[in-house]
Amino acid sequence: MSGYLGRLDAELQSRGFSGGLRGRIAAEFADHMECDPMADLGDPELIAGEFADGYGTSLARRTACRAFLLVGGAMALLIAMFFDGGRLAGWGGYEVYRASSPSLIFRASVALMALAAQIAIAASLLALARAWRLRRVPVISTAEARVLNRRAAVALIAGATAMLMVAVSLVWQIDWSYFRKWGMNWFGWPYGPSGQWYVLGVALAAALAQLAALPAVLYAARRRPLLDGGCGLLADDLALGAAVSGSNRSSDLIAVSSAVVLALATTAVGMVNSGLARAGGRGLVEAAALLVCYFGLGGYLGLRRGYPWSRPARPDGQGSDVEALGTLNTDGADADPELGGPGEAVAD
Amino acid sequence: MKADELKGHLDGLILAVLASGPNHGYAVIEEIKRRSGGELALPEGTVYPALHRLELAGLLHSEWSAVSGRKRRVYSLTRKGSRELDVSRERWQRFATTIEAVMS
Repeated sequence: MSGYLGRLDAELQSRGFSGGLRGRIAAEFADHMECDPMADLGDPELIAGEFADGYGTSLARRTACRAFLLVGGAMALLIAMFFDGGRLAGWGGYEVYRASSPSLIFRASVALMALAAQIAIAASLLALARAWRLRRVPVISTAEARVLNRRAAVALIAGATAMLMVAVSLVWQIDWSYFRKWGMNWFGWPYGPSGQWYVLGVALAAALAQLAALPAVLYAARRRPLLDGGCGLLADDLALGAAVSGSNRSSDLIAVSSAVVLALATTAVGMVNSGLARAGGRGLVEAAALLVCYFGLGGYLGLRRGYPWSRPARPDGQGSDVEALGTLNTDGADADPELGGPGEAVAD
Repeated sequence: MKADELKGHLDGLILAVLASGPNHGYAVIEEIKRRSGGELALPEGTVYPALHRLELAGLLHSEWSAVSGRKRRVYSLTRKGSRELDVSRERWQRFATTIEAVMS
């Protein structure tokens, strides 16, 4: 009995299972063998693989949903902070921002905040969309689990970056003499000129909350299922794709259409406060940023297969297109340096 | 019946057995054997990953109990599991009726 349980434990450990869960599984199998000492429980490697499939699938879906909730909450805070031209965040509004001559650090932090926030929102929505599409699948493929974990990781990192940039932009605005005046007299702070300190605290707390969720994504990545199979694209996420094995055409069309709509919407909204040239310029920048992110991160996040600059596939099916597909349509044998390969040994 | 033929039906079988009351892994396997008159001989070890998977999906709940000084994990059906069992039964009925219509 102990020989079989030892082999099963080693197989589970090699698939990244923690000590507590391995103990539970071992206790269940030991109980089974006590009930029937002649029981044929099967190859430990196959059994451990089935556990990995189940847990990998569940964890990938959960981390995607958790990332959506965390990033969604943080972005709701961000929108609330900057809804009124940033008055709540202590900016004093766009007019003050334009009238002043902010430092380069401030400008860079605001630009990075805007970009990171949009990436976070898009990645978390896409993670949720993929998790929702796969909600009834008992065991998802390695490629699908990888995409879920990557989207969750990108959403959390981008969301944390956006909130950290809020903090950086506030450091530029904060009246530090206020700190000297009130010191540790916390009750006096709300009576100050603005809620900058509170906003700073909220931004840092939101950033930390998102960063704290990253180890769970890495844990899920280590225990992902080892099932061959394809992986959907952006068109599949939006339930517009024909098939998992489809080409990039539908996904690219969706991305380009979205960029056009974004450019027009940004221009229309911007024209309320500024001229056509300025608003149109901002619209073009927004659309260009969307397309750059789509083509730059699309292969990594499972929005499209490969990258536009990848070499086309050779007639024999070899070449870089296949390599690009390797990020999505792979079996479980390849290792993924970013999120941990399925075959690697993972310590508890 | 071969193990391959059971694939896809295992979850439903487990839910159906646990609808009769809470039970542990070994008893679930034995009950499936008993109800099928020995026709459904499951690869025993594969039932445990399925039990864990169903629990992760919220269809089962489990807790430890002690029997003769050793730990035993006992599984029971959740409300969501009961609903899923109804769906599985309906799906199976439709499938069996369709196959029957074609075969006969």
